[in-house]
Amino acid sequence: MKKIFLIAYRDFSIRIRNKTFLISTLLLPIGIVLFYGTIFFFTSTDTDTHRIGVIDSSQSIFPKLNNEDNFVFKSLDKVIASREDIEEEDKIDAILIVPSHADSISFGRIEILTYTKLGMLTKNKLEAKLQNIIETNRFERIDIDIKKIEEIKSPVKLVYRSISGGEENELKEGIAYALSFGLGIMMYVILTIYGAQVMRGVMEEKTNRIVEIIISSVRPFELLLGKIIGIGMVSFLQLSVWGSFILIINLAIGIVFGIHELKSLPADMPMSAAASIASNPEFLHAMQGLQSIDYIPIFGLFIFYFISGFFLYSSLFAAVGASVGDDPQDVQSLMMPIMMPIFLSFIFLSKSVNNPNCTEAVIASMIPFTSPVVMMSRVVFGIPEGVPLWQLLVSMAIMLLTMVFFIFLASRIYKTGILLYGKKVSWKEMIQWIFIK
Amino acid sequence: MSKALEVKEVSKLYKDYFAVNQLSFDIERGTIFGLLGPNGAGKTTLLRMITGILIPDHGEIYVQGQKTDLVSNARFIGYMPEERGLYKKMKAEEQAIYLAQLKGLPYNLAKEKVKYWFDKLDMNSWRDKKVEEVSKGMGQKLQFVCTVIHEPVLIILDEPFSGLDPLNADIIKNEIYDLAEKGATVIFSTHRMEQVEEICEQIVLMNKGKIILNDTVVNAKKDFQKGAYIIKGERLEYLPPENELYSGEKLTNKEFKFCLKEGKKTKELLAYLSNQDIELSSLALDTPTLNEIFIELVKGDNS
Repeated sequence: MKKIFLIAYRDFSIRIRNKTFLISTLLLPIGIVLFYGTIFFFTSTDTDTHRIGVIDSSQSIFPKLNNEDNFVFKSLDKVIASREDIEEEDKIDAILIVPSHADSISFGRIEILTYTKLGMLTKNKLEAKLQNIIETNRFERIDIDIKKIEEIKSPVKLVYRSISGGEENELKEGIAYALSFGLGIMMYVILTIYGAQVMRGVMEEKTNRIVEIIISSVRPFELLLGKIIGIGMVSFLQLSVWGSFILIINLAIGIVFGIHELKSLPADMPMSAAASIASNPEFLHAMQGLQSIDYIPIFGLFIFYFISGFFLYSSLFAAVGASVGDDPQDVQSLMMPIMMPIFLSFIFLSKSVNNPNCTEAVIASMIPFTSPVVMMSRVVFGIPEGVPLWQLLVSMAIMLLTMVFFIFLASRIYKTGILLYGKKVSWKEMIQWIFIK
Repeated sequence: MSKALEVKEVSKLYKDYFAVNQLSFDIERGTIFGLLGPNGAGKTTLLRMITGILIPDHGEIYVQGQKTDLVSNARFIGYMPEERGLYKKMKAEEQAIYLAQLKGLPYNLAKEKVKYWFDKLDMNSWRDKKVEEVSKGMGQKLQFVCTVIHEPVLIILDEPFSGLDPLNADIIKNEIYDLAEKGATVIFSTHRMEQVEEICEQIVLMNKGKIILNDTVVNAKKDFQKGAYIIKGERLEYLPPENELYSGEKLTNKEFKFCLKEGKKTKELLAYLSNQDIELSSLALDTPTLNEIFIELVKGDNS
């Protein structure tokens, strides 16, 4: 037991001291910061004030342009060719030239002369403003009360209720969709990347010729287990760094925008005080949805499927690593049968995120080779909505049994393969090794 | 006192042939023992069974009177396999400590021992270097240190000098003598006969999984003597290749090998030589080298 720990510790410490580990661990949080930053950037209003001069001889539009959303409108008589001799506070960014018939139905064109480039977002806002004013003018001209139109257009909301009584939250569903894809992919990445690392670690010991020295001190099974645990810890550390980073970011955003106060409010109530803190309610709404998912069982099950799936796959990868001779090209053909179910789980994942209870998803979440990816995607939708409890328990039981069985098989193959050099190995031979004493 | 090693009717079957077939021998404590044999004779398989890496299909092996078992062996066997290497990315000192810990030494003791050996073999300047950064000879020294660091009572060295320059080979050789003097038993597996002849007291010669010779080096040489003499001197070229006294063979102009015919004595040969007006500088029994014994035995066994 102590030796397994020693081996695991060596494999762990040697990898976390590696530069690639540091880089890949930091790269994802940086990506997340960029992701949140982009959301924030596009949903928040920019703070630059835009001064727009307006030449509107008909006075049909200028009086209705309010100085809001960082726009300052100023009436002008004529186009100013150069801005150089104008005082700083009067400097304008663009001139809007409103023709006299701007709001007529047949004419839908207003020119704007720009001195500085206007951003995409600013352009869109300006356009929306003008569209609004012109629409109102048109309604007025044919004597229709704009308020009536707005009343007619008030939206219909389709409320889904599940038969068990709870009200379904659309937003929650959307986020569950994203999360279930995210977790499925994360599991896939861990199994392939870190599973392959176990394989490479085994091959390294074999081609370095150190393995015989080591197995004269420890049992091959201890070496195998130590290696899997060590590399598993590396991936766990990496995930924890990522996970806590996401958590911190979420909390930070929550605190800044007071989502926790919001959460306690019914959705229909006017978002009075809290809403005024944030400049964009949609952004808040999304954050609120993120927090409406029950993370504790998801977290627990993720750990379970992470550990069991990792042990299952990496023991197989280790068996392959031990079986290849000195030619790394042999690896590809031996790896195929292991990679196959991982690819398959990816296909099942795309089914199960759309319908976590479809037949394919149910079957794939029972098969231990696909269940870590597929079951995680179902669990996110909730128990029992996404997966009935009994299915979850059966899947976990099958997973555990298969894991133990395959670790046993793999360790037999590993034990024999690790001492054989030079020869290309077939699957048939590997199966024969299982029965060697 | 129990023997250092007892091998009792041990067999190991691979698919369709015996790698080791009904092998029995034992080794007294403190002996430097040579295990010889051509490639594929089953030496490595036998050594792996002694260390406990492989389990015999039949028979039993006792190390210091205890039935061999990998876990209990680890502490008192030091095994340097023929296929050996080190972690390339690990520092020399770190690696030695790690391997000593795997043998069961606690960290502090392992560190102390590493320091002792690094001082002794003049390896301190390499302590913090990664293995991939140092010379091959240094890697070999480090491997030797890792093999003996936990003070094993049975040291198994499989082709220990392959790839070593003469200087390092000499250093290692002296350490082996030293360890044997302190009571360790050394098993030395090789097909380089001149090394065995120089170092070992007892030998077992294996071929095709079986023992074809089990003896001390001195006795083996005596047994394979064929009553031949070699003389050195001047004017040997005039000697006839054969007469009623001997049949002979000119090796060089100054060396001649005789085999006395039955019933003839050395005295008669000496008298004959002085009659022939030959100036002798030496006359010696022609003892066969282990190499010659080895080739003769293996050839005879294979035919």
